[in-house]
Amino acid sequence: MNKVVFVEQDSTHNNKRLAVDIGGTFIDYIVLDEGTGEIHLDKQPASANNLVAEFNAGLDRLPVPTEQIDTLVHGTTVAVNALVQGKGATVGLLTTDGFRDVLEIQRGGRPEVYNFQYLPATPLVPRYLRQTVQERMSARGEALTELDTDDVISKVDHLVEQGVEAIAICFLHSYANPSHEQRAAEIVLERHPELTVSVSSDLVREWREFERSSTTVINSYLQPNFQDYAGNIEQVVRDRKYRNEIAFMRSNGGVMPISEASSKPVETLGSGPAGGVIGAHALMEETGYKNIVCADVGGTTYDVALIHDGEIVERTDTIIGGRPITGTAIDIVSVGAGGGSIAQIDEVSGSLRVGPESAGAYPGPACFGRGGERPTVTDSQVILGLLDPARFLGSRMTLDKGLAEAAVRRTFGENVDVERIANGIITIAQTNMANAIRVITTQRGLDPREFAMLSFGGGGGLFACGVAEELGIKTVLVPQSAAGFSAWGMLMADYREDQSRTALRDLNSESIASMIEDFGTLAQEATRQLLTYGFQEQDIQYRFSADIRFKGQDHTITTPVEETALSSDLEVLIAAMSSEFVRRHRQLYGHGDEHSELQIVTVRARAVVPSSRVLTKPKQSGEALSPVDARSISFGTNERFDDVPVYERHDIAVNQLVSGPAVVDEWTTTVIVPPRWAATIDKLGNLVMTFNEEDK
Amino acid sequence: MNTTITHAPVDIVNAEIIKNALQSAALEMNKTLIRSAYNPLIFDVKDFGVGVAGASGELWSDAPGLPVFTGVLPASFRTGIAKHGIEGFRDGDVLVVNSPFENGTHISDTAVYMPVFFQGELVAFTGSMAHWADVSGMSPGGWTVDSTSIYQEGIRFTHQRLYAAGVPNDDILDLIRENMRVPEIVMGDMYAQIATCRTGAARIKSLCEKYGVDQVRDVMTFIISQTEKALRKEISDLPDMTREVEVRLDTDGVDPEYKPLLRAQVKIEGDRIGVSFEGSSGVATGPINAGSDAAAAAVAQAVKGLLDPIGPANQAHLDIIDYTWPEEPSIVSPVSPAPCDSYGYVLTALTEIIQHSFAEIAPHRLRAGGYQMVSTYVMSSPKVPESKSYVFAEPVQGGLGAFPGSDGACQMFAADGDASNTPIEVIEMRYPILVKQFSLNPKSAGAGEHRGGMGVIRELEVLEEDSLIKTASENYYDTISRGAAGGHSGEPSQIELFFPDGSSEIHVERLSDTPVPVGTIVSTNTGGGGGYGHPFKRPVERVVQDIKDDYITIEEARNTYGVIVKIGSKLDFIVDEAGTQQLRSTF
Repeated sequence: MNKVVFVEQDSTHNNKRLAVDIGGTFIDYIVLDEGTGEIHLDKQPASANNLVAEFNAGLDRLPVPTEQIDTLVHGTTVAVNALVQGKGATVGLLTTDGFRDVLEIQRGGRPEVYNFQYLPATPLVPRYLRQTVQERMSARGEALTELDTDDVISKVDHLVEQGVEAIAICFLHSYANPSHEQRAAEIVLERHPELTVSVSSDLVREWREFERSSTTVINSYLQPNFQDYAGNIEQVVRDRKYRNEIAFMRSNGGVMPISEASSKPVETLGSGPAGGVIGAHALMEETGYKNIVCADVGGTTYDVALIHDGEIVERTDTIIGGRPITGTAIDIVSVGAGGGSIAQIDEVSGSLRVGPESAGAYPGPACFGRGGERPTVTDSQVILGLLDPARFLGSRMTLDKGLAEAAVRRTFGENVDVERIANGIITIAQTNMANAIRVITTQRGLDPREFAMLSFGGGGGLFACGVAEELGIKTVLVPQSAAGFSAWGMLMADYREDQSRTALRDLNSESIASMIEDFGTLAQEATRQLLTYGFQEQDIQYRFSADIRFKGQDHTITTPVEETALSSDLEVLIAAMSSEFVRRHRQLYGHGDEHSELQIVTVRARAVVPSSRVLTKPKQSGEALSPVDARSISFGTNERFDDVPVYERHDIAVNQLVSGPAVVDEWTTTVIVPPRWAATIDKLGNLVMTFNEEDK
Repeated sequence: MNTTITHAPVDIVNAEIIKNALQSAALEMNKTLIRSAYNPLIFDVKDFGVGVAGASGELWSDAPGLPVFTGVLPASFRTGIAKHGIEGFRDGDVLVVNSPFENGTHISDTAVYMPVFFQGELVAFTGSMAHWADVSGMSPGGWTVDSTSIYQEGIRFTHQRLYAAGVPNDDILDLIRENMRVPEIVMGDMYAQIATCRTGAARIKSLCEKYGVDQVRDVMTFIISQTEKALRKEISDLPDMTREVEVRLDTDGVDPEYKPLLRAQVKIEGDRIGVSFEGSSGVATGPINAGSDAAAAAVAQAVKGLLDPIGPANQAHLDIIDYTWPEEPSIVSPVSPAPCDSYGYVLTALTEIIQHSFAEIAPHRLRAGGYQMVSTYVMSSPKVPESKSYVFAEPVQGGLGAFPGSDGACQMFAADGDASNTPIEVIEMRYPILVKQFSLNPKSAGAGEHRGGMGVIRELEVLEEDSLIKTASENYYDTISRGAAGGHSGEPSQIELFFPDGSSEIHVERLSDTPVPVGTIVSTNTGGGGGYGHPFKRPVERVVQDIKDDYITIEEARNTYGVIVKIGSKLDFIVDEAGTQQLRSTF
């Protein structure tokens, strides 16, 4: 394992951090100067088959040579794209005898209950590459049948003959006792050192064999190609004399060294959208907002996540393309809504539907003039004046309002009131976005009105206030360089390791000691991992939690356990855990009996080495504020304003007030300040917009 | 795209917003119930349905669950309105109904619902139907295999108030608590259902606040009529046809010699779709009768799959079918005191045979037949003290039918919607059971150009003294896993018992509360789905891959699929092209 080398601060230059965020169509680069807090954003077009060269080309354009970069953080959609597009390795799976088909049988549910042709996801490993091995653990982790090592040898040799490039191993109850899995992995590597091997107990120490198999197989499926990719990226920066190890974004919002990422690509699947949420958390620490709705607005999807009581809301299961992945990840909910969403009449309801179908990048919205014939949200924004056809993407592209209007007429009839339809399309797009936020707030017993919204991504400024108004949110922040905010957020990520273990026990004085013992073991394991990265033990902070439920129920709630409480009186600890669980249960479901028996299902420990926070600073010219342009904009039926002023964002000084209606422009981002909203710049350079109800 | 909005009587923008809000209200109710229920049949198996409806009980929206339960919710509301009158409801009332003669299902499937008031006016209903862990009656667990009267099956609710104007009706609640074998679980589930109703009610109230009651009502009336129009157009696009379908059940659960007949005539004519049950058997002595509302909902599930498979249902999906019922009470229209506890077989059979009857005219929507429902119970005998007793009950997945473009899936039977299996690691940690095997059973699948879905082999070893087993299965002799377009039918389900003394038994009938010794292995072998298209049309390379995957043998490749394969020197598979061509040309 490579160590993370920490370079001494060089007095000749301020430390610089670079984040490189590879998305579907662009690579975003953000350079942060730790001394001045200034940031520099750049974009490089990306194509799936030439990523490494493009990664390199983008580095050439940065104002700082790579060798002066101290920290390089990398996030990428490479792994998730490979999974979604089915471009992975040929994997062989070793399972417990009798359970060859767990991966194919899955869980049997059919969420589309009326669809007689519903199909579950095709297993990533076909049956002839799934082989069983003589061995069996009990639920308590006792070997009912010892591992037959000869059987492992003959099965893996057979799989190699069949041409597998990677081996996944998932045995029953390995979360309780991983020894059979670990021994089998050793045997595989001894005989076939060229193979990559993914072992379920290295990735997930939780129950539910199908979900654990799925996670392990996905890791195996991604590993060979991902290893090549990581190696190539590393070579590029080594050749450019970058000295530290690349920090790789993981789904849980932390980072790990790239060498570790190479063996756990499944933990990077959510790394793309994670950056923005980390960034929001870092800003929160400075702005003082404890509750934030994070909204990442792209062209085709709208991704939302939550910071509640100062903590990023996480989940322990994710489904991608119908395939489950177990592991802590930032809880990001994605809906098909964005500029490209197509508007049409829904035949079955007779109402106006927007999305989830998208015009995509090609042909794109009708106003792009690339042959798109169906009206989209972007077309509506052009019709209403929310987007300036001449200043789109920093004037890199000119939009055609006539084509947008023609598309509306083509779909909705020649004689319709185009502006009224366009307003309707925007309203529905915004309520769809608001509904995504309701999924993560009201559906969990939280009131969105108690949250501020942080809106980013290329479309972050266009919808922010509209969506906020729909939800009753009164404060909206659009950060600097909103289009590259995810990359900026990556710069704020901590090194962190999560460990978990399923072990069912009642929450009472008899079992609590073993829980504390487990916390200790898990913390040690997480620490050991961080020490291999080169960190010192005194820099590590710990967080503990337990998945608790009412005895007899199935669903658990992850409940934090204060580190200090672990050393207090056992009865006090039990009482604290119980009351925190019941409080959370009541918040989520409206009820919870504090006298019912509780059960602990899974215990979790997280070890974190916090990164140093660097504040952004506003860019400003210091000139007196005057608009650079004015245009006519419709903010709703019968709400058209002529001469709405357009400001350049860097012209606005800290605390200077801009009253809506107004437009604030920045390269790659347009921010709409609707009527009844006012905008200002805070000391970190965020554009802060507030709703003034009295104006209504 | 040639649709234009011409004269929609409502604002099509608000219509979309209100429709979406009601759908997400139903989804939210769904989540509330899953997460706060105490009974694994609800949170694991998802044996429930939720819905929101207008003031006359017309369905506005549902969420994934059991389609039949959603289908009978309107009947639950409407029979309540009939009993109490619209004026009889008060804000804060919560009511309960589970009588098969009110809303069609069996007694365990208990609907809890509430009227939603806004500014003093009754504007909507919200409700859920869920399988209770017990309803009193002769057999624990709310499922009787051999009852002969409704009175044996449990306590019947007919729109009693659990809460009256927001105040708990303690006498009724007390009566429920006193009569259930597992009162904590039943009461926990009941409160979860009440929370579910209230969640939906809160969403409807805030919608009325924002858009006005009249607009919400008008929009939903418009949407339901629009849905009806869209469905009628779908029907018009189908060729007119009349088809007689029937299936004979193995037993009514009481008389092994009596084999009731389910018979339906399905008819498409212009933009109408009709289903007549004339010719079906009369009311059975055993509990295999299905109330007419449940039978209708089973048909509606098939027809929604035919006309509009994606997305939630509303009243139009239920009303689109013209039903004709037998003049005398029958197996699909029983009257009190007919026993109804095993009604599920009739529902699954109806859904499967009716969707199958359209499979060849709508190959883009429907499929060959799927397997009949199967459930297995392993539990303590009543002599075990309650503190040490356990009940493990689960539906077991099996093969569904194939369709053009795909082999059939291995999932839960049609009637069970979004139900999931129980993970082996969860079973073994919770119950005194060791799972010996959980694998696909390729032999069960119906052969075809597209092969039917495979059933499974699920072997549970009983580890504790004084354990009983109970099984649920049907249609061994007259399968509902019927092939389509030349595909073969799937094999039926059966239960195999392997005893510790080395002996074994095969059961094709249902087993009621049967004691078994420690070490007994209960092997549930579920049926496979029907194939679609003649097996000789299956591409040769797929057949070779099937051999490679151990789905079929070399003999089956030759005899069933007409593909002649030899094993080569490197243990690879070599196709005899000429021989295969000749063999397949005989077809």
